[in-house]
Amino acid sequence: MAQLSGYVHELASALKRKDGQRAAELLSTTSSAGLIAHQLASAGRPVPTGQLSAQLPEPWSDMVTAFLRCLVGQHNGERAVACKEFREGYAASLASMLNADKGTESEWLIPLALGAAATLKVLSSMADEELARKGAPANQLSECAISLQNFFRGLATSKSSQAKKDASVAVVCVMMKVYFKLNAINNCKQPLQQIELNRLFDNAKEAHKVTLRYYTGRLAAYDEDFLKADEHLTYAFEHCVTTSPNNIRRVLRYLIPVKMLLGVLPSEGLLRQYGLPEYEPIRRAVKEGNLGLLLSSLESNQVRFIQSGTFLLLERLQLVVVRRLFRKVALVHAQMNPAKAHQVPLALFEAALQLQGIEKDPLELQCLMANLIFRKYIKGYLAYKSRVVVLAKTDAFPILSAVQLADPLAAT
Amino acid sequence: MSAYYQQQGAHYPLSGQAAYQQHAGPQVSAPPEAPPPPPPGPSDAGKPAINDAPPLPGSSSSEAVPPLPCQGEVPPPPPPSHPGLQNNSVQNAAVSATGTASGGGDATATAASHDAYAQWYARNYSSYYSYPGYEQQWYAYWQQQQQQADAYAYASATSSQQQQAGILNEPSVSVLPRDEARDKLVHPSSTSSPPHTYNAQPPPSGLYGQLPVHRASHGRFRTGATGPNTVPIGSRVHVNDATSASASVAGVPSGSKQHPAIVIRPQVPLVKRAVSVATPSYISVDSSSNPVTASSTPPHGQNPAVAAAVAAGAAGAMAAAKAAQASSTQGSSQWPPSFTAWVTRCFNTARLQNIPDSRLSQKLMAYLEQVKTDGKLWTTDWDTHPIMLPDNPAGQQDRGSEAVSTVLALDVTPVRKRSRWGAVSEARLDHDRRHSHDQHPSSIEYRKRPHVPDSDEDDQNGERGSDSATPKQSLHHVGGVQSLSNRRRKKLIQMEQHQQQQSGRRGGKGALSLEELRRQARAGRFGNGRAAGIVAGVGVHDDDSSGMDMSDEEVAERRFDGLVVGTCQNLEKSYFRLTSKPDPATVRPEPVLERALERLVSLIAHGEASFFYSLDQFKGMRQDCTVQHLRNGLAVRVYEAHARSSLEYGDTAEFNQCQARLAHLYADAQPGCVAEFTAYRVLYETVHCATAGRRGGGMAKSLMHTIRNIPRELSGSEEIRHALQVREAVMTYNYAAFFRLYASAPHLGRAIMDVVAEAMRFAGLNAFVKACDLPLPVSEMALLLGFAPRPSSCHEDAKEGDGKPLPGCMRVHLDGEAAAASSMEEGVAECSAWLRDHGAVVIEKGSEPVLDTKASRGKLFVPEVSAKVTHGDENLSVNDFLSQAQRNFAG
Repeated sequence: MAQLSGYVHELASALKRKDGQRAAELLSTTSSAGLIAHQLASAGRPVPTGQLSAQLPEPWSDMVTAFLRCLVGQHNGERAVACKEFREGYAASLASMLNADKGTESEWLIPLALGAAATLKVLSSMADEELARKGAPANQLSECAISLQNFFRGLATSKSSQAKKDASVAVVCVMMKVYFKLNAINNCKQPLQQIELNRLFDNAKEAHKVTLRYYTGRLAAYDEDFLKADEHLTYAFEHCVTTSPNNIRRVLRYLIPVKMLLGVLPSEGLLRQYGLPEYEPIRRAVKEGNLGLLLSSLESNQVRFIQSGTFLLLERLQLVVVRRLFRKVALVHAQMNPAKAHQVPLALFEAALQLQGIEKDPLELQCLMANLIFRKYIKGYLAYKSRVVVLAKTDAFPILSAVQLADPLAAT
Repeated sequence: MSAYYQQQGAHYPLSGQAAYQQHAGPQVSAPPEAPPPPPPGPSDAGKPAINDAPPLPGSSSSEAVPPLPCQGEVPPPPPPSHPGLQNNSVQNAAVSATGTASGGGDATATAASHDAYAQWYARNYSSYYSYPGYEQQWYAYWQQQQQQADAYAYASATSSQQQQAGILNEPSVSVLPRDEARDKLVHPSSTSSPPHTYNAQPPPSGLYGQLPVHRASHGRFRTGATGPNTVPIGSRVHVNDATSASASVAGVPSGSKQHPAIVIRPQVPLVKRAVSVATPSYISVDSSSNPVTASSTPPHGQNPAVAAAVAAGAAGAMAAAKAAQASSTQGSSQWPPSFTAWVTRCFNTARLQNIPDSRLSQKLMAYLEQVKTDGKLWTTDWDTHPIMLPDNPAGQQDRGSEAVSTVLALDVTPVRKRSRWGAVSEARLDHDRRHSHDQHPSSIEYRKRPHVPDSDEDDQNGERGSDSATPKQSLHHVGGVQSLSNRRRKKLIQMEQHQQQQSGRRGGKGALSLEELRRQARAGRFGNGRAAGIVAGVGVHDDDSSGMDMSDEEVAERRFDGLVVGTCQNLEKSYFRLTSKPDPATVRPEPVLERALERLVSLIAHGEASFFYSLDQFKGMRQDCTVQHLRNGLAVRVYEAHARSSLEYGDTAEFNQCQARLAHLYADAQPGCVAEFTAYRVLYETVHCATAGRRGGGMAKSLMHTIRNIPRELSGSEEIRHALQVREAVMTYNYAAFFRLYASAPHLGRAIMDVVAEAMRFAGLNAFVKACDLPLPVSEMALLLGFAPRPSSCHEDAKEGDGKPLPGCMRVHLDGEAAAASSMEEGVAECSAWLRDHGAVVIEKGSEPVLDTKASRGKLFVPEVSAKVTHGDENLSVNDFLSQAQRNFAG
């Protein structure tokens, strides 16, 4: 157990020096503590609490014990135990230490807190996976969210320490991940508001900025505020480090539908580069105005799109596609009948839809056209009785970003 | 090991003993009273000693006697009821066990490290635990043991006998860290290990009918031979001595003298305590593959032996030896841990049914061969693999075995505690529970299924565990309670409720663990469900004729503190919200409920029951289902009928309750109109998503979740296809399609679509008013917005009118509030009125009314909903009531 005593010694001195960085390194799952836990677990020994309490100051001995137990549990494949041990034994104490001091004194704990927050999230999701596999209620992640709130409170409510406030951004990033995973989107807004209020965003690290922007953008997309979503997601896309293509892909997964709704199509190369083949037929459908293709690819990729939460976004593309198709019909009609170029008969449009294998009954067709006009995809009016769409003389098909994407009724 | 063979001997004196001699080799030849190893020294570290003594015949007494202290000079072990203490000892034992295990190769070093550890332990540990006094005391005791090892070891044979006599009725803790299980089984196969000192004397047979095995091993001397993995039925084992961190202990039901049954399972990493209750108790210790203190990389390549060990622990001597052999010849990890756990389960089940181990082991060996040749050993999910038993197991029908098996199903009130090995994990318990749950069709699932939210966070793990688990579970639940006899089911309910009350009293974590343990125990021990036995729950008092009569009730009253057995025979029962535990006299048992439901359904169908009457009745039935924990087809029918009744009436709150409950029931694969109600669910979430407006994000997600989880076999059904089309229509503002679908909605779909119909109409009106410049004929609007019947949809009604209404419904066909009028003219009139109500300008142009869209722009509004009488009965309207009262007063 030479390693253990060496480890404890080093940790004790780091704590004494208040060297948060070093302590955080030692108290991370990748430190030599992992090896010690491995040895303990293989030998079937308990965490030697006595030794820890002899060498470490008061709250830390218990915390380190919990931490080592967590690692041992992890090593034994008991994720839920490990997670609980970490949360209740280690993270909770750390959070209360942060909360106890509102000043700058506990600033050195920041690296520890951030490390704990990140570790807790990872442990919790693993524990939940394990629990779900066993059919038990998987509640570790929601417990984790509560712990994270404690960290956030400890950091963000600091009166005098700007460092702590800045660090709270990192915790919020973890919180966002957890909330989105938990489907508790409504909880996201409060910490984001607080960040905005305190103007913490500008000081944040680039990585945190990207993370926050990504989640803010997704929130905006859920709220049907597509312009805002576009702004945030574009920022995230542009500033995400190119060395993590997976993150870029995540951003793109939301950015592409939002952009398409706003009339910007992704290039084939982009889709290929980031491995998003499921968007390819949709891109093509939007480009060609092929409603049949859109519907069929939505159908065939339904599970995947629902999984990634983009199904409803993509379904909204229907009107974009229909507009495109109708524009084509109008152009054809203008060539066929230049005299009445602006009066596009619905029968022509119906025939176009039929070519794509879509049968709409006349009422639905009217309904579709009424929606297009109502939502400003098309300028003009519908002559119901004569089944003709009378297009505006100028700018009959305004750019898509001018379209009222949100439900006009719900918005009021 | 030796203890295990003793058990075998106990159970099958001849074959077991033979096997023992055959496979345990030279070690067996040690005389029973063989001197235990000298005090700890380098050469002894790896030498396990078991000081087993067969229990004295007199110890069969089932009276509770406090544990006797050990020999004089040895400080008495801590009382078993002290949670912390046993723990410590367990750990130490485990530590020493580990030391021993590794000592096979390097005995000196291990022994040295032992001493060092002991010193270190003494130095440090006393300050950590909350019982420092004890800790020191215990350590002193432990030291003493080392010094007096010889004497003590000699003495222990006798002392253990005394102990055994003393502990019979004390349910207590079983702890067996995995390491021990491993170690003890490693030794037989490792030739390098020093000879073990075994008490090779076969236990006297016929002691209880079946033999107890007791192993009192102390301190480190017991290491390497940790004794019984499994004590066969009939023995009463207690590890009184806190220093012997050993096998599980089970309580013996005090009532059943002939068949004191204990099952002690191998490798129980859990620290469980059974607190003695007046009722018969048991503790069942599940075997599992998830040790608390497992070392995943044991030294000296013991891993293969682990599996063999477990197999050996569970299996008969033959199988064990073979397995051990096999594992020693072929490198490590030859067996998946879950496989060994499965084997253990098989044997435990077999024992409960009096199936000779030899037969089972034959079968298992054959099966194993087959699995191995198929290469499925590592790919099979042993955790959920059904238990295998020899065909036509002998003697399982006889009453004896039933009693034996059923004894298990009684109270256990363990208190979970933390050990130094880390908290006893929730996960562990869950794991155990799952084991028992999966393997036993007779178990009922009371747990709610975890709601795993649809997370779009990471797309990698598409299939969540819970989703994929559903069909699997369903297999195990089809049998469910129904497979039990009615009477037994009632007993089951009794127990259930008793346990509930108990856990309720305790509250908190203890309660949780109690609940879980109980479930695990109850569910886990009946093997294939044939034993089905709660019958012996009331011990010897139980007799088959006492189904529901008073004596049985009295017994129940006395033993279970007044449990609910449905005895009420009334078909009619009002709902009364319970504030205390239910009175059995007011709870209807299942057959009565069945008839009550039939009656109510027919009353409703004949229009003889008002909604309020049926609401009351349904709630009463639901309550009866709940308190009796019915989760079967009947419960499904009750909830379905009530859901339909509420829908028909428009009581969405009640409907939602039923719906939520039904979702759980369906998740348990209870039969029902799954397609119909899944469709309702989709509709329900769709309409609420639509009405939630911008705050509908969460609802949309749960809707997506529901859609994604529609079982494939249902997705083609008419109801669900319709519901999905409705969703699309609502989400894409396709008003025309919505009202077309409204007209063709199967069953009660219209009742749910009504919620959003008004909003759809208004949105449609807005769109058309905005989109059309020219006046619009109202007749067209009436068609669009579903006021007038479409010419094409006339056949829809005819299709559904095939006679009987659905259970719970009054009518065959529900028109819905937003239903189209019967004719075009009426529809147009209705539509005009509606348009005017919403601010639209309707003018007469020629012969027909037209909607002046230009004039209507900017004028549309949603009229205040005229105060709706929520309870629906206009006679009860408050306004009416007041005006009536006024009139009466004036009059």
